[in-house]
Amino acid sequence: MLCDICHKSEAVLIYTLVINNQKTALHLCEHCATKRELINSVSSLGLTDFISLISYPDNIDKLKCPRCGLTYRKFISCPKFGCSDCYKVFEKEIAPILRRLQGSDEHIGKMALNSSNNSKEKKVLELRKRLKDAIAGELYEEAARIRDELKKLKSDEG
Amino acid sequence: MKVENPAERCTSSGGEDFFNITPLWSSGEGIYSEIVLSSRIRLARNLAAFKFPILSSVKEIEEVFAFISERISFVPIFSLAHFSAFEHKLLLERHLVSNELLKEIAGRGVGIFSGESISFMLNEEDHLRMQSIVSGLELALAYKKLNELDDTFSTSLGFAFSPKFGYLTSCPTNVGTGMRASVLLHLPALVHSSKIRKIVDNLASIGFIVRGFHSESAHIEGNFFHLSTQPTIGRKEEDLISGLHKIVMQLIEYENSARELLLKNAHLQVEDKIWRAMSILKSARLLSVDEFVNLSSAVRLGVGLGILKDVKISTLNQLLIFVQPAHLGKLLGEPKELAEYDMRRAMYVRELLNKGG
Repeated sequence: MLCDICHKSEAVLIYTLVINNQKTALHLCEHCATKRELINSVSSLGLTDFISLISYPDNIDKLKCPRCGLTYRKFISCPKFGCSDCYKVFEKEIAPILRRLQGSDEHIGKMALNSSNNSKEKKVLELRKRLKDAIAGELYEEAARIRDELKKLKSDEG
Repeated sequence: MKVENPAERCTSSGGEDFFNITPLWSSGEGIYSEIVLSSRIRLARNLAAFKFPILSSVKEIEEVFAFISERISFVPIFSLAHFSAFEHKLLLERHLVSNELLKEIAGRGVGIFSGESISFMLNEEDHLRMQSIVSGLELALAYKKLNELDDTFSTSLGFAFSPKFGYLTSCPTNVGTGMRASVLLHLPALVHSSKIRKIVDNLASIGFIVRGFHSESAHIEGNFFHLSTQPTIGRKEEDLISGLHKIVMQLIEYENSARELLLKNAHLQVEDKIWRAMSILKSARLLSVDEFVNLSSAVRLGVGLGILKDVKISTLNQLLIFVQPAHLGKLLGEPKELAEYDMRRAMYVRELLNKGG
C-alpha cells in the first residue's frame, strides 16, 4: 500500500488520528512518518491533516471555479482557494473536511458588517435549520409554516 | 492614494527613528506578564471584489493595494518597496511581516499604528492579515481593539463573507472567524520538570497549537512557547478566546506549582542558576542569540520568584527584540563580520542590565 501523504513510497506504518472522537487511519511511509511525528509533536489539525482528508470525486476533472479558474486538481496539490466563489464551487468537497477537522462547517461567529446582501441567504439557512429541528421534534404544524416561509423567500428571488 | 514614506513619518514624530522605538506590547504591563509575555489576535480578511492574492497577477495585486490605501487613508500604510532589504529584516524581527509576505515586493505592504499594538499585512496569503498585540494576558483586550478596526475596515472595504462559511480565506483551515488567538508563554519550571512534552501533546489533542519562540518554526527554545487556537469555524470568537484564556490560567497554575516544587527541592541550586545567569549577562563579551534567550529565561524566572528585585520585565522584553541581528545592526551599525554580532549583542545587554534596568 502506498503512503497516504506522498502517494509515492510504500507505507510502513499506520498512524491513527483521533479527531472529534472519530478515528482516521493514515498509512505512512518512513519519510512522511518522521516528518509527521515532528509536525504532530508540536501542532495538530493543521494543513497536513486537511490534505490527508481530501476526497477524489468522480467528476473531479469537471470541477473548476469559473471566476478564478482554479481546478479541483490544482486545489488538491496546493489546498488554497483562488477567490471567494471557490467556496461555493467546491462546497460539497470542502464541507465534509471541515466537519471532520473542526467538528462543524457552519460559521456561528461574527457577521461581517457589509453582509446585508447576504441576509436573505442567512435567513434561508436559518429557516432550513428550524425546519429540520421542527421535523425532528415532530412539530409538523410548525414545520409546514416554515416550509411555506421558505417557499415565499424563494419565489421572491424570482 | 496615500502611501506614506516611513522615513518621513519618523522625522515627523519627533525625529525618533521608527525601529528604535520599543513596541507597546513589551511594556511588561498586564497580568502575569512574567509568564505571559504577550497576547495576540490575528484576523484574516479578503475583499469580496477581488480574487485572492495567490491567483492574482501583479497588476491585480497592485489594484488591491491601491483600493485599500484609498479607502482607509486614515491608517498609515507602507509599501514594502519603500523599505530597504535591511528594513525588511527589521520588520520581520518585529513580527510585523512574515517570511511569506517578503517573498514578493510589488503590491505588498504593511500598516502599522498605535505603537505597533495594531498592524496588518497587505496581500500576503489573504488581502489583509490584521493583528493586535498586547502585553501580558489580555486576550479580550487585544480582541476588542482589533474588532473595532475590523468593523471600520469591513464597512469601507467589503469583506468576502458567506453566511454559511463566515469570513472566506484563501486557506480553508482559516475559514469562519479567520481568527487565531495566541499567547507567548515562559514556562521554565514545566520544561525543567519535563512535564512539558506531555502537556504539549495534550494541548494538541484538544485543538491548540504549540510552537517555539520564533512562531514560524517548530523548534522550541529557551522555555518560550507560542500557544494558539486552532479551530476557526463553528465557534464564536469570544468562546475561542475564553477557551484559550482558561487554558493559559491553568498553565500558569501548573507552572507555579512546578516552581514551588523546584524551590522546595533545590532552592540553592535554583538561586545559583539565576544569579549566575545574571552575572554572565552583565559581564559577557560574546553572546549568541540562543545563549541570550536561555540566560534571559533564567533571569526572568528570578524576577518571577522575587529573587532578582532590580530587573524590570520590560527590560527583558526589550532585550528579546533588540538582540536580534537586524536590530543590533540598526542600533550599533551593521557589522562587517558575523562574529561581531555576538560582541555587539553582549555589549548591548551589558549596557541595559548594568543601568539597573
